Parts: sequence; C-alpha cells; structure tokens
Amino acid sequence: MKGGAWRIAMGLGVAIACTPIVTRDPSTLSFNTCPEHPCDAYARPTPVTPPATCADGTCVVASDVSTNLVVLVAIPKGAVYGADRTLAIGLADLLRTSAVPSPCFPRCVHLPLPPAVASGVYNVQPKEWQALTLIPMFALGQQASLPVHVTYRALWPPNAPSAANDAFGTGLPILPVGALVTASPGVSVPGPGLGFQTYLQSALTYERTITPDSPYDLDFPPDINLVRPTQAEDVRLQLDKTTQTQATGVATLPQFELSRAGGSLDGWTAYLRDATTKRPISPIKMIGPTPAPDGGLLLPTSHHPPPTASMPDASTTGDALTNAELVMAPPPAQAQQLPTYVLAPLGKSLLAQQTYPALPPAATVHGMIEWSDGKPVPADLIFEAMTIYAAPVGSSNAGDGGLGADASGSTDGGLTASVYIPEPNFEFVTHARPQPDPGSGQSAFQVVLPRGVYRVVVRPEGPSPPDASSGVARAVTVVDGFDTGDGSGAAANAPMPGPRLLVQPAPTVNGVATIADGRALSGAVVQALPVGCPAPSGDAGLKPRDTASCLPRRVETVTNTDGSFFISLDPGEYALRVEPVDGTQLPWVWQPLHVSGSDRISVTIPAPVHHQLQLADGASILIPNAIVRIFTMPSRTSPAIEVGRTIADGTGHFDLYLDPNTATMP
Amino acid sequence: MTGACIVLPPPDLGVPYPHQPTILHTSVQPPTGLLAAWPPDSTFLVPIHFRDPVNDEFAWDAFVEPISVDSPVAGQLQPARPTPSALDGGVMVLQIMIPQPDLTQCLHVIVYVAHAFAIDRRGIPLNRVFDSVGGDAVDWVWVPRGGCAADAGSPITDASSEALPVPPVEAGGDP
Repeated sequence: MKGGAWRIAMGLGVAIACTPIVTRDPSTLSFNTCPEHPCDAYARPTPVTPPATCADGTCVVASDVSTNLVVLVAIPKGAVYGADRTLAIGLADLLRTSAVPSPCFPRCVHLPLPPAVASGVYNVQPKEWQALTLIPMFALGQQASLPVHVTYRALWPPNAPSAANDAFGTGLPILPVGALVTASPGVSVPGPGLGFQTYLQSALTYERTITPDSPYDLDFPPDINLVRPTQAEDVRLQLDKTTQTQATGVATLPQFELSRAGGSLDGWTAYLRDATTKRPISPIKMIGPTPAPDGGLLLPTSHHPPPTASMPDASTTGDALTNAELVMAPPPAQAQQLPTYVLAPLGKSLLAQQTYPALPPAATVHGMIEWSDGKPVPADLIFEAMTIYAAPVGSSNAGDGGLGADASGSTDGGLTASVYIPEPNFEFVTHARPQPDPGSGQSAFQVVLPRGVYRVVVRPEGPSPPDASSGVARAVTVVDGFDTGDGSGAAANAPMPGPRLLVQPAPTVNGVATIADGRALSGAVVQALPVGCPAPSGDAGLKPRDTASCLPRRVETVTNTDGSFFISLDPGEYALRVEPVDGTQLPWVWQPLHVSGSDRISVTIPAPVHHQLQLADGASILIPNAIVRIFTMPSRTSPAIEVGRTIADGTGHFDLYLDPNTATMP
Repeated sequence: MTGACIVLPPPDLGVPYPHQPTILHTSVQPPTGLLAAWPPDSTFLVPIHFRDPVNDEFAWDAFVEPISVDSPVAGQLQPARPTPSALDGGVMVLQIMIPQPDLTQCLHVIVYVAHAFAIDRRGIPLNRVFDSVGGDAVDWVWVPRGGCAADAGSPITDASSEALPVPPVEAGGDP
C-alpha cells in the first residue's frame, strides 16, 4: 500500500458500523448435543472428512492436527510468568507439548514460559558521536549510553526472515512490547550505565527498534535489527554506509543535497524510511533554506537489512539504502497543496543530488455527489493520488512554474508551456466534506488538488437508516482513474469538474446459516471482515494497490431463529465469518465473499474438531483465565483470520471447537 | 377414627437475587492501561463473570473520549442473558468492536458492564449510570507519540485499521 496512506484512521468520516447485540433467547439456540441430536445426521463437508461421532455428549470429528492454525494466548496480569504478554504458537506445536509427562489432566499443553529476558545497553562510540552531532560528548574518548525507548515487534512465523512478516501488521494481535529503561544510581544522561530491559517470548524473532529520546533523535538514527531475545546484549550504534549516492561508488554515510525546482525547501523535512514498513530509519531532519547545507543533509541509519539470498546473515550491515526510500515532506501548512516526494533507489542508484520537481498549477475540482435515493447524508470525500504530474528532472521548465513559485502555494499566475508527465513517486491524500443539500438531493464539494490521477472515494456516514436491516445503507463508492490533466495552459487553481460520483444503496446479501444436520443456526454473529477493495472502476489501467481509504466497512449482524440473515455491504472483498453462540459447542466458520451486487449465500456449520486441554507454563504451573484465540496463518494475499476463541477457567481448562475445513481453506 | 393433617404449602422458591456482573480485569485484552497500539481487528475482549449465569442479566456500552461523550460507540443497553458459555465456569467473553478513531489525539476508552443501566423518567437507559445492583468498568488510554499535543502530521504514530490489514508488499530487492 502507498506509504502512510493505509494508516489513515478509518474513523475519519467512516460509519460506526456497530449495532447493538440482539438479545438471544436461550430457548431458540441450537446446541451441539448428542444423542438428542444424532451425530449421523451431520453431513460431511467433504468426502474425506471423517463422520461425526458422539463423544462426551457432543458430536465431533477426528482430524489431523492442522498446521495452518496459530494459537494466541493472552497471559493475564498476575500470572507467574509472562504476565501481560500474548504468546503465539502453532496449534500443532502446542498439542505436541502435551506428550511431555505432567501432572495435568486430561491433556496439558505447555506454553513457552518462562519468557526470555531481553536487555541491553545502547552505546555510541566517540567516532560515531562526533560524526553525527555537535552536542558535546559526555566523557571525551569514552562511549556513551543514550536515553532511548525500545520497541519489540514480533514476527510470525517464528523464523520469519524480515519485517514484512510483522505479526501485528498481518492481523495477529500481538502488541508491540516496550522495554523499560534502566539506569544505575547516579547515572548521568547520557553516560554509562543506561540500559533497557523487558521479557519476550523465547524462540520468536522480533524487529527491535531502539529510538533515541529527544533531543538526541534529531541526530542519532534508530537502531533497527531482527533479534532473538538474549540476555544482556551490548548494542553498539553501527552506522550504515552506502555506495549508491556517489557516482564514484565510494561508500559514505547517506548524505543528500536537496533542492526544489523554482522554490524553497524552508520548513520541509527529509528522512529515510523502510520501504516495507514505511517507518523512519533515519532522524527526521528539517531542511534549511539553502539548497546544499555544508555539503549535504546527513541522514544516518543503523538499519540492518533483512537477510537475503546473497546476505543470509541478518546481523551483517549492508548498504544503507537497501529497501529504503528517501522522503521529502512539505511543512503542515503546505501539506494540503503539495504532495510528499518519495524516492527509492532505481537499480543501484539514488544520487545525492535530488530535486523536488516543478509541478503544474493546481486545479480546483468541483462537483456534486449524487445520491440515488435523493437523500444526501454527510460523507467523507477522499482524493488519493496514484500519480502526480511533474516536470521531468533536469528539464528546462524547472524554473518558475506552477506550484514551485511560492512556498505558500500561491503563484504568479503560473501560465507555462511546460511538459509534465505523471510520476508515481508522490504521496498525496486530501479530504473534503461535501455539504448535503436535501432540496436538490445532492452534495456539493470543492477541493484544490495538485494535478494528477486520483482514486476518489465517497464514504457516507451513518451505518443505516432506522428502517433498514443490518449493515450500511449507502455504499462506499470508489472511482479510479480521475485525471485532472497536466494543466497545460491553465491558470493556477483553474476550476474543473470532478468525476461523476453516484452513491447507490449498498448491495444486500441474503444468507442462511444451518448446522450440518439440517437445523437452523439462530443467534449466531455474522461478521463481514473487509480484506480487499472493490475492482477498479473507470479507465484506471492496472488496479491500484488497496489502501485504507477504499476498503469496505466491517459489518456484523445476528442470525434469526430460522438461521436467516440479511446484511448490506459495501462492494469489495470480505471474509464472511459465522460465530455460533459461545457455549453451543459449534465451531466458527468463515468463507471468502466477493460483493459487487446483491447475492444469496449459505453457510453450513459442520461438526467440530474438539480439543479439551489444560493450559500450563513450562514449569507446569496452571494458567487460569487466559483468553485463547485461534487464527489462520497469514499469507501474502490474506491477513490472519480468527477462527475460534475461548477463555480458560480457574483451573486452566479450556475447550476448542474448530472447523475441520479450516486446515484446507486457501 | 380417621385422621387428618393440615398440610402447609411449601414456601415460594423466591425470585433469584440479582448479582452485579464482574469484569475479570486481569484477563482483559488488550491489557488495561496504556495502549501500545490499537488492536489490529479493532476488537476489545472483556471477560465477565456471573455469579448466577442462569438468571443474571447484563447490559454494556463503550465510549471513546473525547470523540463520544454522550453517546456510546457500541453497546447493548437492554439487559440480556449471558451466552451459554457462562454456564461453565460463570465467565463469558464480551467482544466489542470499536473502529479505530483518529490516533493523533489522546483517547480514553471506557467500557461499562452493568446488571442494568438506570432508567430516566422517560424510561430511557442512562448510559453510564448503573442500577441499584451495580456494575463494573474497565478502561484504556491511548497517547500518541509525542504526547497529547502531537502534530496531526506526525509520521511516527503506528496505526492499524478497522479493516483487516493487507500484508504489505515488500518493495525493492537485493542491492
């Protein structure tokens, strides 16, 4: 997804899609109990699925242990080991731990506890200190410990090779862990004896980020590395060098001479960021008014690249610009008119001299949102740039053209005969708040945009009108490929019409959920979990990457007593999940759902695979009241999806009822 | 001689005494206190213990301050029975989905769980006022990097999405 755009808060103008949970009458619920409900009535989901049999009053099937499922256990506060941590382990691996003899009954599984202690001191050697800052060193000639805050982000699977496998980013709720800063009594800041400490799950790989505290963060980069928790680690700042900024191929610290065609960079900021995670890997520095301050803007990194086929050792410091991007961001006052410039090395080259190109005059885009039912509502209108028109680097029109003339965004008229081409190396997102006019049944908007090709998204507010069934009443509307043109011959802020935006009622999905023995499934929660944007519309060419702005909204409802449900959804891709009422001993079931128009679907709840377990740590100390959650394994095309949840009781006992199909789902 | 006896009817069983639902604070997810990040699926899990899961009822609602002060972002204001899972151990896990709000400001997330909410003169439940039986509450605090006065444009704040995240595509390649 583009840069930070996918992190736009979904709450901005997005409907609060929660509906109150409907009161369930226990007498209408369907339970998986036998022999009252015979197990031989359960249809097999596939010919190879074993038949259901009655075990301890529940119809269950035997199944090979799935290797595609991940168990997350949230250790409660007050636990002997690992309190407040969420541990992750493959279900197959967890069940294998029950083979170890222990006093638990009937089947005890052991979590990887106690945790591993991770601690360290972040030291800066005199040579690196003097290379980065003019702040006097604490003790001349000696290394110094900086005050830092340290964050560990778990990767999944356990031997994950890079930060692209960030567990949290792929949907596994393993929260980042912050380390406490420790200091010896009487220590000075900076100085010796300043460290950090925390405890983590052993045998997991983490991305550890050590970020200096203010004001040292202005000069010293974060130290980013993939680590396994170990005791007492002495971390030394290791500055990365690059050969990509000099034509001579000489290895130097990343240093850039930044300028702006026909304008000033006063108040702008520049930094290097990880191209995968989009997180900063260098200090974020203000760019001064002069184009090339003292030989260039130093953007040091200590960003140890992930292992690759040619560099399998993660601890090896590679080229500073490996998987990195250079970002030039306008000051907040100009951010509504000027896009952020993002440059990645092309091949093996990202030269030190970089120029923010000249842009053509902005366009004032105006238009109307049409509401098919004639009832306009407040909405968030999002314009997200796919490409921005810019003068080619080195062209003769790098002078006083368009938005390059004045840092405030105003121009002298900006009439140019320049050539501008659509460039993908920009990020720009802006919002408008169309004003609904009940009289005309439309909403008017006007917004100033840098010229480019945009995805336009209308996100209506409000989940549904009072007389509608569950879901959203008016669909999120996505229009791709809106081209403002390059503005040749146009005046600055010249008005132009926007794309046609017609908001229609959301498609409805009529569904029915039944148990595999034919009984209706009542009172179950049906959740539509968005996983992908709708197919591109208009003349968009290649499908733009999904971003948060175009994702459909999450909606949930509850099945009726006859198992039916009716839900209105935005167009897009979903994981439709049906959660039978907790305590009915039926498994959660999910299936992919593509919504482009109204549809009918059916969901069948099979007899589950049942695991009855008791939770303990590595020392066989029982863990009561821990929430246990089961997820599918995340992949390149799908996030992790929760497929089961329970809570251990006061003696650590818990039951898992899982869909036998889950292991074979794509 | 015939005998007779006067049989007194047995006493009424009586109406079960209602009990206050209790949150298992140590098991709440994410852990209470300072939020390290907004949950990736925007789901907050609140285990609730019922002394009498057969007869007890409960209501709940959730607020995100300062965004929602008077109206909850989610809730079930009319009392309902716990799920059958509460019959085994007396605990049910309440799942609350709170869409991710603007994370550039400080936030206070509060969940109230009550036997019932007090009713005003019009018969409308009062969102944050427990009835005479009582209730419980749990809260979390979100502080953006840089504190409560952080610029809206800060690039550092980690943010997840209401929707399921799409795994990022790794850009670039071997040097």
